[in-house]
Amino acid sequence: MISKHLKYIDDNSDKFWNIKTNEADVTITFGKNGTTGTTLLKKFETVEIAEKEALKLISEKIKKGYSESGEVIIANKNNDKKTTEKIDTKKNLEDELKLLIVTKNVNGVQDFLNKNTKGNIVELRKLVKSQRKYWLDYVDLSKESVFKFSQNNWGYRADEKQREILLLLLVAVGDLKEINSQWDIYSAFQGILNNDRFKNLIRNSKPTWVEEFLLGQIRRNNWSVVPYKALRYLENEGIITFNPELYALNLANQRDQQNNSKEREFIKSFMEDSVALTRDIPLLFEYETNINNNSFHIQNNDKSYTEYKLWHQGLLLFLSENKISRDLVVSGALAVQTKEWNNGVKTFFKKLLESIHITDIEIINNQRTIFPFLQQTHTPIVNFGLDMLKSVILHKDFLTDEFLEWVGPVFYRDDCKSGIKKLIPHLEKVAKSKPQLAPQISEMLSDGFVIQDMDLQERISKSINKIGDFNDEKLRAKITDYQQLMIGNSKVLMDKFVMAELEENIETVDYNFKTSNNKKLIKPIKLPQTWNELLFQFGNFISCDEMFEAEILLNSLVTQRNLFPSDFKDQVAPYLKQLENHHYEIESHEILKKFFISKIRNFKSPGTIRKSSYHKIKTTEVIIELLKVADSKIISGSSLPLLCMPTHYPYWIEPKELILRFLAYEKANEPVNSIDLSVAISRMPRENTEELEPLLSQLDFEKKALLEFCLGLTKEMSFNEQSLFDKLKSFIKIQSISEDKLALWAMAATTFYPDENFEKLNETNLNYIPFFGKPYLSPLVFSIKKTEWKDYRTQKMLTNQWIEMTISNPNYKNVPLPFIYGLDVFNFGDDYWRYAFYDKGSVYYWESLMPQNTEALANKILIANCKLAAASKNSMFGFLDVVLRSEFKLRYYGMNLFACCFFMDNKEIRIKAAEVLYMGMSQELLDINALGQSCANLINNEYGVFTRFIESIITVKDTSALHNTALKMLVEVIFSNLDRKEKTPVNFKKIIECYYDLITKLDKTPSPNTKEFLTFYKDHSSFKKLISQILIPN
Amino acid sequence: MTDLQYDFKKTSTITTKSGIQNLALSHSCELPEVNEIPCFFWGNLVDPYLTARCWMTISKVVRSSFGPLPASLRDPIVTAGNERIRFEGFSSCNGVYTRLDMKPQAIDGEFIASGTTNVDFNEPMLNAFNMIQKNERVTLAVGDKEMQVITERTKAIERKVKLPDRWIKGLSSVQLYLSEMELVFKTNKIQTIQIFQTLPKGNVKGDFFLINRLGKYSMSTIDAKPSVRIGGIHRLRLIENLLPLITQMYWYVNSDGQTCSVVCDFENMQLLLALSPDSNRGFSGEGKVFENIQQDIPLEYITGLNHILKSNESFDPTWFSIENDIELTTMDTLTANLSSIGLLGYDLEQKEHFYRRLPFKHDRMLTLNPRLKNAKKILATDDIQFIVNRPEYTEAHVKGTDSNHKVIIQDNLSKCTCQWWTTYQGNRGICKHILAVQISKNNFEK
Repeated sequence: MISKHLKYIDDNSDKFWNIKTNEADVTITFGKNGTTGTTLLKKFETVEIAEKEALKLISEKIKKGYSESGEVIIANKNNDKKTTEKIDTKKNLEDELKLLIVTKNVNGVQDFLNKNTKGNIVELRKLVKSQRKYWLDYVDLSKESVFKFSQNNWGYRADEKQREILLLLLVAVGDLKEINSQWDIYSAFQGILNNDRFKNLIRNSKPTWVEEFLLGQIRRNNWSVVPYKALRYLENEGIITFNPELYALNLANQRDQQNNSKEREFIKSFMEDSVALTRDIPLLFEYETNINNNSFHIQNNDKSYTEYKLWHQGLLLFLSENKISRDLVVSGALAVQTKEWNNGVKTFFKKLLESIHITDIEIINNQRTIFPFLQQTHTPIVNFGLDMLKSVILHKDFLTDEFLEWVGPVFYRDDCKSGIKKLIPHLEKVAKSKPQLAPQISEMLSDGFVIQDMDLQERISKSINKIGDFNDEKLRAKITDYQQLMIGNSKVLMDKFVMAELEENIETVDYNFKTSNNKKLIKPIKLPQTWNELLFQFGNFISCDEMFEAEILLNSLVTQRNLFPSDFKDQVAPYLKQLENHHYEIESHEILKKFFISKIRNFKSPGTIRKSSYHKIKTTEVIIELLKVADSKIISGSSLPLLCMPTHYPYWIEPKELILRFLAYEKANEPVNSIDLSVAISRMPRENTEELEPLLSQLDFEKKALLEFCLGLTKEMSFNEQSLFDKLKSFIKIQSISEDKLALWAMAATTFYPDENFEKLNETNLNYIPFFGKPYLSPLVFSIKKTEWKDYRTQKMLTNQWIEMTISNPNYKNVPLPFIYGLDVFNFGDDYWRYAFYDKGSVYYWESLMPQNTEALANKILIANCKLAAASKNSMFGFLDVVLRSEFKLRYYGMNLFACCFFMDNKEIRIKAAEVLYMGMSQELLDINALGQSCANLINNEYGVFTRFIESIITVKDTSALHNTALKMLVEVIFSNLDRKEKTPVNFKKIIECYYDLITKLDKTPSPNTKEFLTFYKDHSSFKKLISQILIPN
Repeated sequence: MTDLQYDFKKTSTITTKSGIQNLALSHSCELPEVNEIPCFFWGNLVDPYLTARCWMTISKVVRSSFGPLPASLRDPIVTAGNERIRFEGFSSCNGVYTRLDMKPQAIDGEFIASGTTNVDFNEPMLNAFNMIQKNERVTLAVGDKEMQVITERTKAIERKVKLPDRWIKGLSSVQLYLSEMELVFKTNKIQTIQIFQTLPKGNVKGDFFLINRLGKYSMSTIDAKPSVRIGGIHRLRLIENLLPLITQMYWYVNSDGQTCSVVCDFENMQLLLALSPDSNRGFSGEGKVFENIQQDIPLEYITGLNHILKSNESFDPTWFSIENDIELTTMDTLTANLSSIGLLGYDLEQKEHFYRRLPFKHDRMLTLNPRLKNAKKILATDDIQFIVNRPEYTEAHVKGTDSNHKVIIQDNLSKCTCQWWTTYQGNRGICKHILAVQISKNNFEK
């Protein structure tokens, strides 16, 4: 509570003012002392606001001279007067300002400022700010017809002239903070030389922020520019001081403002300006500018255009006219190379140096500047440095000792190998002319063995043989250490230096391809046992892109309904919100999400089950059917789980459990849905099948026959007409009952006997469906595509050619839903995007429906995502996970898809594929023969970039003798399946090198097929030598 | 509190005088008592070439950004004292931390004062580092030994540096991550170079694991324990230039398997590089802090520590607890607390904390934990309703914006139904709801 009683007693007055607050009420009483006065009551929303208001009023009164004693303080009185005066001037100022703007009196701005600026700067700044807001905000003008100039309801109040007035005012009175965000002020500075009004204003008001403002702008937008002459004008007028960075940044971006085709003349304009030449142009070497992006185009006689860098031409011109010193350019451009600048700028100066042909003397004079090039991260700079230095390496003034220290670390760098190769002969010369340096050089050379490049290692070996000393213990120790890193015949060449041979344990291992028999039923799935577990299962579903979390939740809703508490809805509320806000890439998860949302909202009524209208993938309909089954259970009060509910992670069903579910269904008289059953069959491995006989015999004939077939107890297909499937009739909407029955048998056949042909199914009218009881192997088809276009600047014709791959699947005909394998194996036509298949999660969904035979999935990914090697999608990652999980059970499409992964443009996919390759080889589960054939096929058809392929498979080399053996096998299979063409893929040498290294390490001779293949290329210029080393070992 | 902004009144300079390069690092500190110290150290570098290379690596870290934030130079922090000098650097994206530990053998000079401060790393100086050769003499001054007279020609450029709170917070939480790291591999120079050769080129997404297969180290995308998980692997290239100079490399991984560190060993010095779980994630994750910070520690410990310990001196929790009569069980909390408010650093090699007071005001450090603040807000409004509260099992409802969240704390596992927890499933520490329940539970048990 606040309470105050104030008085004001002087010659003319004798009055009081009283204030009291009570909760949110404020009572004010005032009047002549001795009277009761007048009372006012004000009500506020809260106590805080009321008290704040009261304090404000009290302080106002005190300012006016009120006090508790009633004595009026004179100073206060004066202040009071001043305030009123101020208010008056403020009012006048504001009126005058408004008049200026409304009358669009641009020429009056200067007069207005001259008259009013002094002493009012703070006030004026505020006024200008509020006026700018009024005039320049983008507002709804529908009710302000005065300002409406167009049809649009929204617009600005100011016109061009008023804009200019407001800009000039801001420039004159604003501070940097306000001005910084105004691009139009920057534009005004750019055009200052041609704008007298602005020029005069600047000259008169002499703002202090200009230098900082201009620098800030160009730092932020490094492409922008203020004309050089404008800067000089501002400097001469004393508006800015000489700021080197500002000059450098702007100078780099100068271009001819008037006429675009006269750049050369424009450059010449600098030549007569000695300040520019001596003071400013050298700054281009000192600051990181945008110099490399300032270019112009000149039309040639044949109408094509050539691009020139403005300052490249400029600096060359100044040099040729002796306007700047050569030394400045040479040492400046060299020093730039080791600065922490953008590589584009460095390249610009490097090209400049190349154009002026740096001399040996200049290199010697600047050698200490060049040495640090050798430790730059950016490879071209290292090579550039090496290039220059090697030409003067024997010069008498060359600091060889220092050089050797700087160049040492380069020998560890894989990326510099081309530079090293060129340097080696020069180092040999040094070693010969200065024998005392030979040991140091030999040692340094030996460090190069860490680089896995056969050619380089061979050169190093030969060089060490020439200059190295056999008795040099240190060198020998080093080489011995490096022994295991040597590839090709380096090891043989270095033999003399090696102190102790590495334990020669060339194990003769064989790669014995086998298929995995690992148990699948390992980790049982436990449904939530308590309400809390069930509650958090919603969270598990939301954050996981695999199917099992969804299925656990779905089945819990069916079987664990008894756990629901009465405040179920309140507790799930946070998840409801999260589900509503979440979008899944995975269509099946989207469908599940919508279902769960509808169930949380109203558990008892039918749930929402629908897919997006644009989505055409048939396999998605499986989840829709399953949801319908689950929903009907919830509504009818059944608490039996779906037949396809996994019993073990991530999607397996134990046979016994399936039989028990059948029996439970029978007992409860619940119908069996054939899609539910189909998924269940697909998920059931042949494990734990002992002692199932008694249980099986309790089943009716149809189920028993189907399960016995699935479990491998019989291979007989005994589908006779009246049985389980007739009973299903009433529950399945699809017209033909026998089609569904056939589909189930085909599902079983394709799951458990993927490579076999079942006559009984082939005879049916569904035999047009791919995978229907028989293998489906359609070849990969490659076609060459081409486009042409014209570069509008250079007028050159450009072409682009690429290879597309596809599989010729049949056109779509009706496929019964329970035959999941056949649902999407057809041609998409032009509507392909409706069948797009991009994300990992969708792959997991498909896999969960058909984990024992992934051919349909692989076919789908191949056709949807592998058309181009340059358009890889996340689904490939998903597939590689599937490869691991399925323990490399890859058939035709799977193996082809796996091979494609090594050619993909996406590096992460290739890296992962190489890892999977490593794992497959380690466990001997990968069919090397089949993989080699697939790879050779892709290489023959020029699918993707060969280098990508070879570089990724080579990563498994030298991980173990087994891997080397397997890799050798793989390369041999590829060799024997490759077309013998004169023109080999780029970097084909790498695979031959790899092979040579493998047979050397494994101490093997090439296989006859390989010999024959290599003999074909024995006269090929690039690998002649290499092949002779393989064919005729020394 | 707004982001910290500080100015360097001078720039660091490197000048050559009679053949000796003199490096004077200009410093600045938010704490006035530290800012006024003219000079902390003056002396010779034992291996100037190597030191310069390490400094350049630090400068690379501080001027880098791998996340969505644009890179802007954040200057390194230097701690001088106890015969050692340490340089700490932190990237703009809060995801890469580096520290150069210069042991007594690496420097030969005089420690004039002990303390921690920001130093100016400017471009001309970095360019000069580039040129430092092996057999050169270089002196280092942290601060100025003599007051420099600013002549008119050397116009002082005041450089303003802005340090966002997030950055400062990240810098202090790194120490908590470090203290939970274990050594996994030790590789020699050749092995290390080979490992770096297997790094994928360019920026790659996804996790990589350094694993050892049959005695050979390689980077794999598939985990096989023991392994070091490295997220945002291209960030390792920051230290690539140092490889030819190292004697050994140590690889550490945090107990949560997310963050990792590599240490380049040069005998007399060590350079540590710590990487956050991924390029787009910072060390600012407060989660780490919360596991320990649920109890407030008395302010006098903090001020007291400053009197007891000198910069770079090791911090021995046992000794400290006896000295100050604190229960040993609360020492972990205390250590974590002190780290998170920037008073302790962690030395991986010695496996111990060392004292250094980050050059920021104490009350700034205390405002850095919004999640804790939010949790305290929940506590203040009394929005927690306990359903079950036993020592080993707690179940509670916490009022949220428009629905109630359920929190379960069972032994060391806690869960919440809020979006944040659902998304990260506990991978980024605990949410404000769990935190509030935990604090409330602790208070209850007291």
